Amino acid sequence: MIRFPQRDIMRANYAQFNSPQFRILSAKQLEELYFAALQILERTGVAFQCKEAIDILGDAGADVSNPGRVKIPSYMVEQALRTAPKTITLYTREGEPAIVLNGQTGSHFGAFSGYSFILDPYTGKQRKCYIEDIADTTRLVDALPNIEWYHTSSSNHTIPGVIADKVELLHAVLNSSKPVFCNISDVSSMREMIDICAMVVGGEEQLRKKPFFGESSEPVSPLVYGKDAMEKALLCAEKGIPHVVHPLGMAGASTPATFAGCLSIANAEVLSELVVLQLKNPGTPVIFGGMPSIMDMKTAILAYGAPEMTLMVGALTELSHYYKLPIFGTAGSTDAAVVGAQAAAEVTYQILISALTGSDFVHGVGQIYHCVALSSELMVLVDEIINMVKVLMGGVEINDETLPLDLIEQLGPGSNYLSESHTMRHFRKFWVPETFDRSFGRKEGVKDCEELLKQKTIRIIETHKPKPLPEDLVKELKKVEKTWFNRVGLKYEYPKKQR
Amino acid sequence: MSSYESIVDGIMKGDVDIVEAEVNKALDEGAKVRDILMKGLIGGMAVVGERFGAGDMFLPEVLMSASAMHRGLNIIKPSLAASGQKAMGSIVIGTVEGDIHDIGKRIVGALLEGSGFEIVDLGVDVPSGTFTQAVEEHKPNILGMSALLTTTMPNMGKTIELLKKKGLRNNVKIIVGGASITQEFADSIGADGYAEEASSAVELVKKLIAK
Repeated sequence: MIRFPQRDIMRANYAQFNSPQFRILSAKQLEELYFAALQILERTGVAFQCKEAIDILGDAGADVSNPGRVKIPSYMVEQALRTAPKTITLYTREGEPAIVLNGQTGSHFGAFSGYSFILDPYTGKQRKCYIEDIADTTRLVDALPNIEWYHTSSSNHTIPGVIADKVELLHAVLNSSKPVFCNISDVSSMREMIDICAMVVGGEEQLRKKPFFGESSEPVSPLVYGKDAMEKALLCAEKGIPHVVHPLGMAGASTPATFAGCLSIANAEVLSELVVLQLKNPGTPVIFGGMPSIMDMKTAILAYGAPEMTLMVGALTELSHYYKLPIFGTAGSTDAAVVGAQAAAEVTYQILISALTGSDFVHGVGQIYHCVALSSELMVLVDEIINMVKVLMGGVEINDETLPLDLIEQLGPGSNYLSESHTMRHFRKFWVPETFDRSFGRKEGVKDCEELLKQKTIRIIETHKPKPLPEDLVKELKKVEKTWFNRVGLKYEYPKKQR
Repeated sequence: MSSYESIVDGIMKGDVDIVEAEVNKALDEGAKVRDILMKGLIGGMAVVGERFGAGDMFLPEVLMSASAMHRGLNIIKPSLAASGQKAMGSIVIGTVEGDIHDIGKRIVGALLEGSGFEIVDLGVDVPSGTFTQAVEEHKPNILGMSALLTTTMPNMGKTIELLKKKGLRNNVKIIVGGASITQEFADSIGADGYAEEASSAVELVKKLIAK
């Protein structure tokens, strides 16, 4: 065997890309968008419908003479960016560190645990999402290795809206250890949800130290902060609970129709709330959010699979990293009503661009039918696609071992590498698809990807066992749940699933 | 081009100035207001509706056309009233209490306005009492309520209950819409109609008024 002298020890001025390089905005463009947001905040102003927020801003130097146009000077924004934490650690419900968000750790994908409607994995039909489904999808989240956290929806249609958010959270927490973020109806509901989570981790202080629960809420674009959203955010600041500010601007409807225009509205909205929360409690963990997309001008929907959305979320990711704040991204969602060609195409580029931009805390996995329904099979598909994207993100490593010029010379033309020890050392790194089909011919018994997805989904739902919570704790939690049902005049029983 | 065709053309282009000029010209030339309305303004919006349905026109263009149509309508309104010609119907709309989402409701309002209906928009975060007052005051054919959130949806039912209590329920047809609303929910609160998206709301209203 020929051995060439080692080359990779003394490489002068050598730099290696450990991942593909990808940029949407230049340094100058980032600065330009930041200054645009500052101008909007200083001149245009933001409408606040929450008295506490207006008072906080007024006391700190903002012009609050017209609550419909609260004007925030640049220095207040700069101050807020200084006190906002640059790194946020999320924990499991058992108190183990799960996800570090600081713009340096790559993408962490999260799925929804419930929605108004669900694509039944057994029948393939869309129907109402029941409590049982929330347990099933959360168990799936718990099992899928590439889904690191999940999001509850508060939009269940089988129980009254005022208790749906809490009931959903409870059944999700029973079925997964992973960190959870919630959509919450209002601040009083949020207090009860904090109580539930505190019971799970052993007290509110523990929840503050090792947060496994966070809240996400949104302004109403353009530039309006409703009372409920702001009160919830302020409670996050008070309790030290991680908060996502998540504007959903619709280009052409609630924002200008151009990318830069739409991004600037989102940017100004997030920064203005950041100011309020950092004033309320410096160091409040805030995750920079935003899902700017287009309004589809035929149907008036906010498009969840549009390439425009992915481009703008990517740009917003770069912007948040410019501020050194982690971003709440979006991927794994589709406008399609079924998990087929369209869904696969849309989620694949969303995941790829999220990974390439380093979108930290990526939400949305499993949303179908422009955010009306949830598909557990889509979650399983996304889990597989993330494995593919991981290969791409590894880049091309070059050293003596990966560039075996000696082996190439030794074997020479016309040989094969199949039985070489070098091959043995490396081929196991090839990605092996689990649900994508590479088999020969369509013989009897060969299954397509859709069938494999369905089988895997059902297998996990039926067999995965999440870490149980202590029995006594479950009893206590159910007692609390019973009081919610009684409060809205319902018997304590879950609506039976109807297929 | 006849002046009706020019009005239709102006509406298709969403050009307020053309519509204004052509409606005035038609009036000067002694055209009947009823013809200006039916052949010009409503005729124009009918073409717009068709092209929207066929995917040749998009929402912003339809809304521009609707506002052009509305300008024309405002010009002939005094003569319409004098001639005894009635508007196609009136509709009170609003987003229910606790909900400040505006855009969906506005799109529906603009499309209805463009189809010749008179719209009274009560805005967002509208309490049940304000809806019932508006029904009493404006005596609309239709009351339309919008909600985006599952938590504010129940306020639609509350408004309907209040209308019943005040003996006003039978005076008005009620339609509901919004991202979280379903036909099943609309039925459960006793609404008369539900449309999944904005353009089918226009058809729904026409159907309900014709009843």
